[in-house]
Amino acid sequence: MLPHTRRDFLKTASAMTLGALAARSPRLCAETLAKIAPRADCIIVLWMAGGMASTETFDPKRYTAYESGVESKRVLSTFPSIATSADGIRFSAGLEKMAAVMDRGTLIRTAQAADLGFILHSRHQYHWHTGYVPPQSVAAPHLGAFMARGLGPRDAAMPAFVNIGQRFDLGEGEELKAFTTAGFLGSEFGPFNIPFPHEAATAVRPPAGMTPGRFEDRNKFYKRLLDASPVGKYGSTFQRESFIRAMDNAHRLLASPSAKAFDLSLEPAESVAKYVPAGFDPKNINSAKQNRDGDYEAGTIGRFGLGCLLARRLAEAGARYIEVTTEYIPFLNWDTHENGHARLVNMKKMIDAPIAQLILDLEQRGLLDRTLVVLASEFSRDMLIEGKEKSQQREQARVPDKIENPQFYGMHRHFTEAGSVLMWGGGMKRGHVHGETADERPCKTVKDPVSITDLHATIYKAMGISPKLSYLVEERPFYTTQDGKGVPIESLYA
Amino acid sequence: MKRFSLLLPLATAAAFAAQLPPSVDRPVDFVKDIQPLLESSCVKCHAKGKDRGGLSIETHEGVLKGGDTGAAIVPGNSAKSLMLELVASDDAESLMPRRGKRWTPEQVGLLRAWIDQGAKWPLGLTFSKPAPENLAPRKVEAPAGDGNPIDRLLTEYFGKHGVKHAGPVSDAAFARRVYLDAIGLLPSADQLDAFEKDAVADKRASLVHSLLTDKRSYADHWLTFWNDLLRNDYKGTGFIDGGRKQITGWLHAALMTNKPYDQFVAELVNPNFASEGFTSGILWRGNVNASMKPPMQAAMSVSQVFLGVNLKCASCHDSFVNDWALADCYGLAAVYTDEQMELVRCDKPQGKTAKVRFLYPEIGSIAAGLDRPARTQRLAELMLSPKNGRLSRTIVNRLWARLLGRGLVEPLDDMDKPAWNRDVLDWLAEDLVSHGWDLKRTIEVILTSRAYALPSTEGPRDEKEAFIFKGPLTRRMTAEQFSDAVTSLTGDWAKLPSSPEFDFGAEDLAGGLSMPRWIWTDESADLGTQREAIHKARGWLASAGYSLETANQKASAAVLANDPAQLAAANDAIAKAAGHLKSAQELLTAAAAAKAVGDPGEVKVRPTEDKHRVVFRRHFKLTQPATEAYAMLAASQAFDLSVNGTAAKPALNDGFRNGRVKIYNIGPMLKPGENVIAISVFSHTDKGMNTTEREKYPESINHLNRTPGMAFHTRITLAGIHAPVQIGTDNQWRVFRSPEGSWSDAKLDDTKWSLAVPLPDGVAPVDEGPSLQPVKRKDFANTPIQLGAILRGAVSTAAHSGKIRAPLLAADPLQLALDRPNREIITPARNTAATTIQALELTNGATLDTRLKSAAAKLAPAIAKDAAVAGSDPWIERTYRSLLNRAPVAAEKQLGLELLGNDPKPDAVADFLWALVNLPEFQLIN
Repeated sequence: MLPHTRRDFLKTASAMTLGALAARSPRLCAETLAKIAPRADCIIVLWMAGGMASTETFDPKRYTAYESGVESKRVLSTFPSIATSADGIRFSAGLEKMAAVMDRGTLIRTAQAADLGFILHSRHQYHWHTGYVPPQSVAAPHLGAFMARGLGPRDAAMPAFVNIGQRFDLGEGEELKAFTTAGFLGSEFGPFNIPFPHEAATAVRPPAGMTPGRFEDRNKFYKRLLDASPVGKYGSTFQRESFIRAMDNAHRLLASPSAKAFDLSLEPAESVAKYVPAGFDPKNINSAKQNRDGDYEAGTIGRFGLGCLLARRLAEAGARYIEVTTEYIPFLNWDTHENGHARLVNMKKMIDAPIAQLILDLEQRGLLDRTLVVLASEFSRDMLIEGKEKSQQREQARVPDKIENPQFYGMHRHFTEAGSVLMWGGGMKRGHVHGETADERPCKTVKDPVSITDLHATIYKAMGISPKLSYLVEERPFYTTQDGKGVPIESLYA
Repeated sequence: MKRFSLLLPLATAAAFAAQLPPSVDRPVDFVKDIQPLLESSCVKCHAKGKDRGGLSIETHEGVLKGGDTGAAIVPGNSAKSLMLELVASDDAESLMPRRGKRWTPEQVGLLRAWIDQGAKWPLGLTFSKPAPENLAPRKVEAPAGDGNPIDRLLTEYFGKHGVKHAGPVSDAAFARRVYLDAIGLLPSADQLDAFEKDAVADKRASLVHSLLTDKRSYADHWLTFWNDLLRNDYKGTGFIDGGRKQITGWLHAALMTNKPYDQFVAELVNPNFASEGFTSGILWRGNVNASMKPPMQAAMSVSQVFLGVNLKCASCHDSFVNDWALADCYGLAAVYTDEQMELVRCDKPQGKTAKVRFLYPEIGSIAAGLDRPARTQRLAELMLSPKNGRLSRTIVNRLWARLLGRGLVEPLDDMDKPAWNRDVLDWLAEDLVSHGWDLKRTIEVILTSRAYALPSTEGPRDEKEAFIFKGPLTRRMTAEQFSDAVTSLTGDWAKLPSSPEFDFGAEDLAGGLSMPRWIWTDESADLGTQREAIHKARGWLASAGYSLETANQKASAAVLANDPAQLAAANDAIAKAAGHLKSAQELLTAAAAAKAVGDPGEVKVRPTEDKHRVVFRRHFKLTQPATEAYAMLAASQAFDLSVNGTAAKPALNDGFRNGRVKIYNIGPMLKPGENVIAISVFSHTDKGMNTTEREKYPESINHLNRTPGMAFHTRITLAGIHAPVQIGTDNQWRVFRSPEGSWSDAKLDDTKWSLAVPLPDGVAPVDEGPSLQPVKRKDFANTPIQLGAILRGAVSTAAHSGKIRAPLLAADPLQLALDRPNREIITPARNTAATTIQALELTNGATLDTRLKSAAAKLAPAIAKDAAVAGSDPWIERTYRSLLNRAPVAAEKQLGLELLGNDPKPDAVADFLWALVNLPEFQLIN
């Protein structure tokens, strides 16, 4: 096993830069920016994929119970509200465990999504994850790629940017791929994708069917073959070196103790039990029927929990940016076009315990102060409004005037004017709420709107990156926040 | 956006002068003192063709005339001069220059003195736009002598830069390079042997020529280069909503036939149905930012790809990095739209309408008032104008960069930069034009030059180091070349490409294929009430029968379970179903009886769901089992295919939104003896409509295309029989509208069906898409699809299954890791850095592992057999020859022997191959 020291890492980095130069990779803009002291060293993004209704989660409004014939326009929330551990902040019922850790976090209730017309989820997700609205004339990098490029991994043997829980062979897969990338920054900074957390260990193990012994022998053979090769006496030595270095890095990850962080089987059973409901078998995920009546969510509840657990392990082991998604599948999970209420009962079960446990575990390990946890979604939902108030958007779900069937009871349209974002740790205020939304429909922002650009600026600054940081691509600057215009919301920092 | 905002009240001259830095106390020289100031601070926005705020300082007159807010200077009176106030302003809003450093008091003092001394301007001096670089054609004569003109032109260059180099690379290294560059494959050990042994003097030139003559291999390989450049792909963003269209069929055929580049460009700029995808851009659902509207994308793509002009900045504002203005980008975009485009600067509408214009007025202009086809045609003329030397220079520079690792001009998309050797660039450009725009010729000229055959070099180590050409840069295999090299080990090529548009026969499709006809039924969609009524009643009968059966089963279960409540419920259901059965029977009798009395009007039942379903069936006999049969099926509406009663799953869907063309692997479904193919074509489903629309526009669900049609073709290879059997849509297909019974059932009696009717010659169906009236879907890019144009490619793709190379396939995880781009944007040159993520994929990714495993399983027995006689040595040597194109040295061979032994196991073979393909030497092109 190769020891890795800071010196080794620096050597790696410089070889990488040389390779990058040869490859016409983007340079950092020469413009000098004031150094920002980071508040956090690691970030975990909990992605509520598909549009999480804030009125059903972290910004509850007047509750209207289901009864046959209830008027749709009367319904704002389909769950009663509950108190949280933070004074004056209420959540929607079903999120009791998260409510208990609200005193450690900051809640933004006025996160606004852009108005992009006819809704396409993946397009809004692209916007949230890159800060730019597609299509773009250059390939925009993912938030995680900017972090990987700007900060690198905390542990040289760990991938800097790990993306947990999303498959790319389902609906809108091509669109998801388009933003789950390092874009013009180059694939060195791209995501390490782990679609199924329970299979994470295989991502850092020898290929299926290869024993560790054979894997080691294969690598030794490779090294000896390299040494025996007569080539390398002429031609491009630095390109050759960068290849060998990359192989070393890969092998170092696969062979390093850090790789154990990926192996959930090493987690004690009582600890797993705090993240995953009893009896959950991840093997059933693939066979869960993808219908829209709530069965799918009920059948896959523990998957996100395993993702949260994996995120905690990776944060401990030195990853920089970790994202865990509930997974975007058109019309499933948070994407409720029907049976919204029934399905949200399950979605809340999916996220409540593991997120609360993640916060508690990080706290207990003394990591919460330097780990920024962000929960967000591409937009919110509403029963009646599609997009924003008075927008002429195409309606994407049928909403009868009177609800005669529970199928229609829930938030089935896409609402962009206010959504909830939660942040814990990483130097954010505790027990704080930012922004205010209207109590009656449209439940839009009435005070302190937060754009994606400013939210990103806040996150970047917390991580010690300037929102004006830019890289030169095709001779023009490309900024971490849109056109360098992001302004951190200072009042969120403790 | 702040402009020249000078509407502030002017301070009195005296008060204003008091705040100003003093004039310098000496005579001022314009050229020495003032010109550098203007050049560094002002000309970017106020000269070289630009006149922000109406002010142009290109000439003395311009300065005196001033801008929107009046004269810029008052000669002799600096205190009254607006320009002075602006450069010395305390107000950040009005301070000039807008960008860059504030002027020092000394600099302001210089300007004051110049104005006070009369603002003298040297006669004839202007800050006008210089003549564009690399635009006018230039004829270059290569120095007299033997050999390749490139080398003759470079002799002086090498002398001047003191470049001395070793002789050309070895035959093996040369062969490796040209195989990869011309056709994208490594030479096999045999090919390499033959080439090395060849004693003919001009064998290198012959090899280059023969490789380039291999049309299919050349086209397959260069598809990678062009797909990157024209951002064409088989999967990707935009396809989901019809917001993107492939040009695969057009492009591959253009490469197969080596379409002259002038015509190639003309067809992309002034597109036909098959090539329009390039300029129609990529559209995501919803509103699109003004700077990325499809016509703007077209302007950026056309200028970048063909002219090496980057308009990306100028799509949003006047560029800060080059001289292109917002109006230039909109002017070109206006060629591609019939709508009035309002100029939008950084998301703010400017109240001005785009006026169509060409980037280089010196070449020509596009008249206002032309319609769109005339405008695109005119644009194509301007691109190909003899005055436009940019088009040829841009492409030869790209080819040079592809083959030698770095362009004569860099960046490749900034042809406003000078070449490191103008003569070579201009000679290559002229040579291309004077040889009928034959790109293969340019490639051949470069590949046969001594410059190309020089040992490879590293290139500059950092940005500051000047580039001196000393030989080709070390390049890296593309993801596709890597993938194909691995596949070559076993020959396990993919059977089908990822698009059904490939016309592999190119100009000689014939190749024994007979084109199918478009067929349809002449039976009216209005079936007549009687048949509909019978049809409907039978449907009800069947469904009531099913309910009865289910209820009976439940009743039995209840009896067994001794559950009286369940039993009661089941009995109710039985009674209900029996009632339904009875009334359905009565309806059927009534419907049938109506015929007897000749009064179909009596029956008022109309089927609404199924009357547009048209079923085709074709029976045929096979004498032998089929060893291979891929079938292509295209229709103007949705369809299903069944073979011998079993539903077929498509192996490939079209690249359009609707799946109107599909390819099936029907070989395993065929059998010797009687076979029947059944095809059910049904009207547009309501896919893409939401509940509201469905309720609001019920007619849309059943809307028919105005020109419906279906075509089918398969080429069946039979065991032991040389000539394949072809089944196409000919005059033997039976057709029936909305038949009863299972349409796919092999035993269905279709003998009374009528024969399908061919569409008239020259008429092809049109898929009108889900944007049919009355539901207008403006937020989709859907346009009707002419199916006529896609038939030939689809037939050819299915009939020529086998040996499909990586460039024709959608990217797999391995290729993505090796930096195959996703083609959202134009990729003129790929990333070549080795990365950890990549190395991880190579080390433990499933794609490579699976392929090496299967290669090893296939190879190991044969290697072991040979090894039993002669040891593993010959195989090791041969593998080194075919993968690295050289023999192993003793130490390498020894290592291989240690691993493999004399009875190599599959695992050892796989590990050996893995190590070899991961050597930098394998992946780099030296």
